[in-house]
Amino acid sequence: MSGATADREILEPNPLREGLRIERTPVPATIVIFGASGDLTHRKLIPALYDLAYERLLPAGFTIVGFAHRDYNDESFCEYARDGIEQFSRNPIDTSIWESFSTGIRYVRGDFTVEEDFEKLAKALQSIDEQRGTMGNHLYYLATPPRFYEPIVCGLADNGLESAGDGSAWRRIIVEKPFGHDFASAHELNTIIGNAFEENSVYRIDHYLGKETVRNILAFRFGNGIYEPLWNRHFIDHVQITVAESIGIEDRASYYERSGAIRDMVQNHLMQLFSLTAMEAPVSLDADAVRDEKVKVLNAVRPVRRELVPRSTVRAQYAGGYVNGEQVNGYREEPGVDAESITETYAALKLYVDNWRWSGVPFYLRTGKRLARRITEVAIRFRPVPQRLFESDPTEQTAPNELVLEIQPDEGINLNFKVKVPGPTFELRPVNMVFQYGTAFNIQLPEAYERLLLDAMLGDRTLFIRGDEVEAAWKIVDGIVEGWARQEAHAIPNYESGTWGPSEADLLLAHDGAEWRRP
Amino acid sequence: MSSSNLASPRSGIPISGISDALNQEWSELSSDVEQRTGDPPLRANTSTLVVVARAGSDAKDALETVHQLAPAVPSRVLLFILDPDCIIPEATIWAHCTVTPRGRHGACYDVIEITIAPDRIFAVPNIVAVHRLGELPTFVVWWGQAEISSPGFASIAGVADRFIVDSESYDRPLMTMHDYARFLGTAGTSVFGSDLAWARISTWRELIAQSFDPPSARRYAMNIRSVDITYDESQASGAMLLASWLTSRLGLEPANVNDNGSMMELRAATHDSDRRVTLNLNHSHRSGTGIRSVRILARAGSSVARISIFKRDTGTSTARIESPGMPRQERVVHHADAPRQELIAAELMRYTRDKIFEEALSHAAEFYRLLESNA
Repeated sequence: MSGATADREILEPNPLREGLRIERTPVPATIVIFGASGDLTHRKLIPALYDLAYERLLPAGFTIVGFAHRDYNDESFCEYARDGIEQFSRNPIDTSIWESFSTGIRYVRGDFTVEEDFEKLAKALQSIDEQRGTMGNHLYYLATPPRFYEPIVCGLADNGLESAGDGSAWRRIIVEKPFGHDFASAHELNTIIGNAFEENSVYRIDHYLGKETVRNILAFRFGNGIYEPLWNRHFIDHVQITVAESIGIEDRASYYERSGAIRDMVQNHLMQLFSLTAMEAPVSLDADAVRDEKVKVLNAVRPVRRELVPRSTVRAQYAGGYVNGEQVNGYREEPGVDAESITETYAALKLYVDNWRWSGVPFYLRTGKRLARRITEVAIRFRPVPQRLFESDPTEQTAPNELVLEIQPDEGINLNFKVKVPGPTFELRPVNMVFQYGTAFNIQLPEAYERLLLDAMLGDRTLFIRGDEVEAAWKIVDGIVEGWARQEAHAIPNYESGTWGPSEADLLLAHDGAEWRRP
Repeated sequence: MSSSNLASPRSGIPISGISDALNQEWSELSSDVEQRTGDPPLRANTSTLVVVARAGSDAKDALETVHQLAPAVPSRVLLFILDPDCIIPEATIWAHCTVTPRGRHGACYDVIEITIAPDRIFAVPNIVAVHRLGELPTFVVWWGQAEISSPGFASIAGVADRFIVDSESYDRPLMTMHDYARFLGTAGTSVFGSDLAWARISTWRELIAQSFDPPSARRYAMNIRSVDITYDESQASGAMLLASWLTSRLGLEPANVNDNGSMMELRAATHDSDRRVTLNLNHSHRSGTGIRSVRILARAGSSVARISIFKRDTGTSTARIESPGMPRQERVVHHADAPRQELIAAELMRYTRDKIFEEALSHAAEFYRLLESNA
């Protein structure tokens, strides 16, 4: 199914490869983008593919096939692609590179639910394989609303496009989040996809994992000897993970009304940051070794039972307020949002990991829209010193050491510790030791989608989410959602736009003698 | 990054006063940065870069380049200018922070320029020991030509974790590579070597290697029969390194060299002579263009594959693969000549030994030895 023979052939070393910046380039292949006329394709996928081509990371013969309902042909889709590249690519359009790149752009007009259109696609792919030497290697990208995932996967399978049959080529599928809307639907989706594709051909994408600094959490934790001995319940008081956005829901009301913050951010981005922070060291950086550890820690999360939901979680909705000096509407005033909506735009939760490393250490996770500023960070709050030596120090109890892994907008690492203020008294003051990537490596980083698309073409699944990982994350979230469903609708508090969220979220930590960071 | 620099050189400093002057410079610069951005500057160093250059155009060129280089790879730069007219060594220091248009500060770095007489070159290791940044790697770039077998060169190498020369800047680049290979072989394992000529051919190596990535092309890699490289004198050592890289990676040994003036024919073979490859280095009369093309012919059984890569003037290359049973594959890729500061920056990102370079250099040295013995 996955082209095992093809993978074996790829793994035979090329004697000229050693010492070069990547171990290999992908074999000639075709990427089929379902939902090719959409925003994701225009803003992210096509520009990322052009950037890969520009950087010499794509093979000769590489072909893009756009598949969508919109009335494009090869030429007009090419123009659409070029427009996306001009606006969103990291690299400038170079005429000769564009001419070479654009010879591999095709468009198949079709409906995701119409059998004949998949037959048309199959014929087009066969022709491309022959003309461009892509040898039957196909990467399918589901850049569509999730309701089309099933008909697309079935359409591919019904036309024999899910497998090369004799194993001479590979077939892979990239699935965009959301992966279901609860455990049951995620499991069903996994089953539907699993009926057509083997798990090692399925690439569930969360673009957060392609970010350099998210990947750096692994490097920071397991490439340095000094932190890992402290990375446990003996030294860590609690962990705070924040994914804050200052924007509102923009034009995504219909999607957001159904998902809310917990499905939009917690189940995926926050759970990824959480599992990378809390996981045990993998035995290697092999895709399954890393993902095994992530699944283990997700499975070790103590379920938030319904009756505990009010004490362990907070949901809220943004009201009007000011962001960046501009007056902004409340959530219920946003276009397309129900005036009685109880969809949460903010979620905070307290999780415990029931294993030896983390027993008794709370993990506080929060995310929200229209918060004070856009920031993503993981903050490790260490335990206070065991004895108060410096009685005059007012910060001794209130400001223990903190290590902050900043993900965005400024990627870096901050360590907060105390020093003596110069002078005759023994007064202590917290100071920050700050490392920012931009001050050490002032180089242009590739976009997350570039990295992830390249990895998918190379067959490297490390930065993609495995099916059991998705289901484990949903199990955690489902308990919370069920608990919320039992609460009265009026139990959803508001928070003023441009603040750090509702006061109820402060109480969540105050009960434990902690407080949220003000990043 | 578009930025404005906050910098103010301080000159006429005696060697013993460098640390104090540097502290004072940073103190003043910190205040400036804090005033403009609201935050004190952040310094995150990755390495110490030692540059040695002769007074005159080499030194001017080196100074200009390190100022272009340092913001991209923030480091401490120690620039030693060897000036025969220098009587008393003295230093000029720059502390720099770039400030972005958003009012945030970016990279901070400092440059310490020290002018000394050439006969004081043996004082350099001690100055470096005082001012290098802790346990971070120390890179040494020798700007322009140096007598590689001289004791002065060896003493500078002693401070380096990684030593970088540019064999293309020498009058006799092939001989330089031969001497450099011998130097690295005797300098011990603690010094890793590199050559900007090697950095210049990285895209060529990548494009050639990529041609053999597809499974259908893989079998041709170990069946290469002939290679034609067209180049001009501005990249003579690059062309030799490219050929030598191929022979070393393909498990061949240098066997013979003939130079007829317009073409150098290199022959290489396996120990048992089971496989033989001819590599022709064709001199191009277009000057200043570097390597222009690489053509490879491989034969596996009765199947013949042809790989051609042509560099265009527009900063791109066309890479073509023709093999039986496959449609001709051709693509155009970005292939611009990187300026020297980018080549050095790329070298500063690598802290480990470049075994592949050392093997290629060793083959290049052997080809040179064969050439000399045939002459």
